[in-house]
Amino acid sequence: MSAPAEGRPVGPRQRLLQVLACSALGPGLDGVLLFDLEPEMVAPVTDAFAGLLQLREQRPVRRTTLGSVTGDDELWLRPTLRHDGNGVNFSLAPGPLVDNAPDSAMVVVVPDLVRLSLPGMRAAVQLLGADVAAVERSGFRARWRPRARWLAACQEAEIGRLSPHLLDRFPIRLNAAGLRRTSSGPDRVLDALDGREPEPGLGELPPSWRSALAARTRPACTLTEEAAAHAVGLFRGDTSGRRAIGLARLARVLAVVNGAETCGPDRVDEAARLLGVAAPLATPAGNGRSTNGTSLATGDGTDGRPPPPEQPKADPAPEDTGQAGQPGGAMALPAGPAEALDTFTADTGEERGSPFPEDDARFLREFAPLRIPWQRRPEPSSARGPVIGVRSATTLRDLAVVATVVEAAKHQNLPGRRTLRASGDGQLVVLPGDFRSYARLPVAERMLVLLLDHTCRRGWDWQPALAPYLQWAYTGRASVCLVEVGSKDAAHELRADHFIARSVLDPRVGGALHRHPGRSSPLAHGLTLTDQLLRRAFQQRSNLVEAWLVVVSDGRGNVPLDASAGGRLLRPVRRTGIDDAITAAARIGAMGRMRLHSVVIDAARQPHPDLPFLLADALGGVTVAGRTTRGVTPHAH
Amino acid sequence: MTGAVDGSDVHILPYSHVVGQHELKLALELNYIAPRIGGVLISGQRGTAKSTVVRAFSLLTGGELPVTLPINATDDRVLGGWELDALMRGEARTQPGLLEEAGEKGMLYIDEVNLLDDHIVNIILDVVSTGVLSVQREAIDTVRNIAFGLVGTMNPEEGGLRPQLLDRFGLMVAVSELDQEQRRAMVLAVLRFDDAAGTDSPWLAEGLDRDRELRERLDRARDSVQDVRLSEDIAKLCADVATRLRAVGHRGEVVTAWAARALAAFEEADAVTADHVRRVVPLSLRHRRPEAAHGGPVEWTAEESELLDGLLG
Repeated sequence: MSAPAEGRPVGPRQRLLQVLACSALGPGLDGVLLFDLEPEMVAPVTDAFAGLLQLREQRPVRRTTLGSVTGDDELWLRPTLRHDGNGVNFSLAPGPLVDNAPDSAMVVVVPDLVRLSLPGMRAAVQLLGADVAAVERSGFRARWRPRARWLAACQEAEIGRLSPHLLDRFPIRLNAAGLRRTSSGPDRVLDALDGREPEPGLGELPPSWRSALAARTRPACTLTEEAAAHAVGLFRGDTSGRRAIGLARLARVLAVVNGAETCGPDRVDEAARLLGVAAPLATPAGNGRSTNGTSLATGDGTDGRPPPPEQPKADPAPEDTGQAGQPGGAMALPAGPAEALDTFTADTGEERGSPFPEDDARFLREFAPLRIPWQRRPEPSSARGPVIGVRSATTLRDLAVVATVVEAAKHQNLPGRRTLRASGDGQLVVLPGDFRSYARLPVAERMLVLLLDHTCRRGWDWQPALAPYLQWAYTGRASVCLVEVGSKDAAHELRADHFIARSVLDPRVGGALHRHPGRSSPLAHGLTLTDQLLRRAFQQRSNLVEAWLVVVSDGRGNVPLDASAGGRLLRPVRRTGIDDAITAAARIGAMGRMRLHSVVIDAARQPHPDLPFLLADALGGVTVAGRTTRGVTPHAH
Repeated sequence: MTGAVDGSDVHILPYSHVVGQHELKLALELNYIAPRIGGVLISGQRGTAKSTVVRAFSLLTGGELPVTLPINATDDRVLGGWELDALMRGEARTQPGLLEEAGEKGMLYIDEVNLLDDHIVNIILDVVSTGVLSVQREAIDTVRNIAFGLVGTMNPEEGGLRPQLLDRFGLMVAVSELDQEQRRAMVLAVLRFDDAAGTDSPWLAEGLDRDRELRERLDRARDSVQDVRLSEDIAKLCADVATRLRAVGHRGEVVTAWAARALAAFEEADAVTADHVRRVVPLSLRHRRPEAAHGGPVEWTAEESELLDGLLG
């Protein structure tokens, strides 16, 4: 790479700039995914990317930021309403993702890819790396060649939440954990006040890169057969073909920047080092090796190290520096001595493991995560669901554009409208009364409330007993409200803890199933908390069509409710903890909700086997056998 | 091959330069020769050039990109509605929907078909199964007969298709991974195309020439497919294979016969043989086996392959 030749070491900022410059130079390197980028660095990195792109394209760069609530209509259409004295003027323009404007380039910024809205993810799949894109919405249609660059960031530890199908669209990956603001403390505050943001600036880019970006024509540079074979050989045969293509494209950009007329295997190695692509084991002979004599030997003391047996694992703790090479297998292609890339230790992709961590990540996403599920978005349910008609609009939200215009058209010849129209003007006059919004089928919502009494779990695997309820919650896309009592890890051992998760796939749910039991069992507090949560859910969620309350307990609460409230035991407990729990359960039962099903999973603990049944009676529910040993048979009471 | 669409240039790799994917290409070609096959579903992992092949084939056969239903489509664009700008000018002008457009061109392409909204799937199924496009909404009242083949691409990682929609695709291809040598050729072809797109490169011209030759051969086959004989024995064989594979419904044997006939026409044979049937059955019955039709794997098992060999040689 040219930077060292020009006497400057390549730091994380320069590395990032080079990667962004490669994307700007392209072609086909439109998606850049940065792992573990500090949120405060998103804006400066975007500025840098936009600067590079402007240098390359010689035209203004438009930026679009996508977030967790970006909807389809906002992505593809831009309805504009204008009041001009004679009524409302209405028009539909291409939305921010329709980048067919000849006078500007575009950068789409996704500060957190994991939390990008579903329409945003689906749009990324449609646009990134596509030859052609189309939009067909609400009377508007367009076809264009997508040219926008996408800059996305996400935490590497959360990569398992994302669809591999989506991730595959990002050919350029880089771990940006080492990227920090240069100033700190008072300097940083002063910088911010003065508007001096220390950011990766174009000035840090070597001159050869700047020249390549500014060049109007791209010099011819042929990828050699050996280089193509080498790029292919760096990936397993079952991985997406886009990876080898992306690496080859990156290698060719590097060759162009260096003024080479051909792109050989050494450039592929250089590109692999830039991203941190690991060398696979047992590469077929003559297939995965540089043929121009460029050694894979390192300049950093790892010469002769045999390639480890597997692909590297995703680094589960991005904070770690990962000094000791690649965990679990192949090593990153090390930097050669002629380059300064190996001067980095903690901040480079090559030290961080594979740039494709999704290959080894835990599966944390939903099944088919890019499909429109029964329910997903946090908006009011009236704004979701399939369209079943239109109605008079009371707000400008979820406007039915065509229906609005048709409604207005019906009344154009009424005298009131004629007077509003300028003479000879054929423009449609739309009045506020014409506005129509969509009527949507309400989306049914389900909820699983799980009360886990960890003290009853000793020597018992309760997962089989819970499985049917967890499966119901998964298939019904139910939210999960989990109340825990008696955990060794409880924030306060006399009180219950709780959290609400969007689905059973939330890792906190799995974690709660495996906690160690503590000494106390504030069951009464847990049930009181459950009562409050259920009442709130039924009051606030009008579309809550079904809820299951599953209590896993032996009924032996040993903390009275007042002790939980006060945070200390004031007197001997005796039976108060149990009685308080029964009373709290009775309050839940008294709600008399038809849509609430209560069940107590019997932990079957001696010497009070009747307590779960009393609890179930108070809840107005049933008891099912959980622990099937000790002579307890599965049955419903 | 390039094509200007709505003011922008869209560059698609020439069909002849697409590396590998022989089964996928065969399915598209058979569907072109005999449109009554009813379309092709292409299922494959990410990065297997599914969409590129479909677009390249559409450019080869029709000279334009296919009528494409994107997953962002709303029902008014699928069924047809009003031209909004015209309405705003006080003119009532209808805007044909994608289904009507597909009826004229003979094919509707759905990229990422398994990500399509269920509501849109229902509309398509209504029209495809009845052959009637009935629009009665927003002051539009039209009924017209239309017919078109469906071509869809999907990544099975993102879930399967409803059995009703699956059955509407005449043929199904499970795109296979390329081997190392093919991957190398693919990388070279893609990077070469990066340079050549939009230029008068000889390599591109050579690809377009080969595309033209293929188009002529396909047109000849399309013209002659009705003349290819399909004997009683072969018809019975098609039915036997479908029965032995427990194919769901009866569309399977009909599609098999049409596909075998198209293959025979492509190879300039006078009559369909058992060999033609053997070569198209993996395409026509793959998704009609009970397991595959209900969301199971679409790959052929060793037992099924043996069965086919036993029946068809």
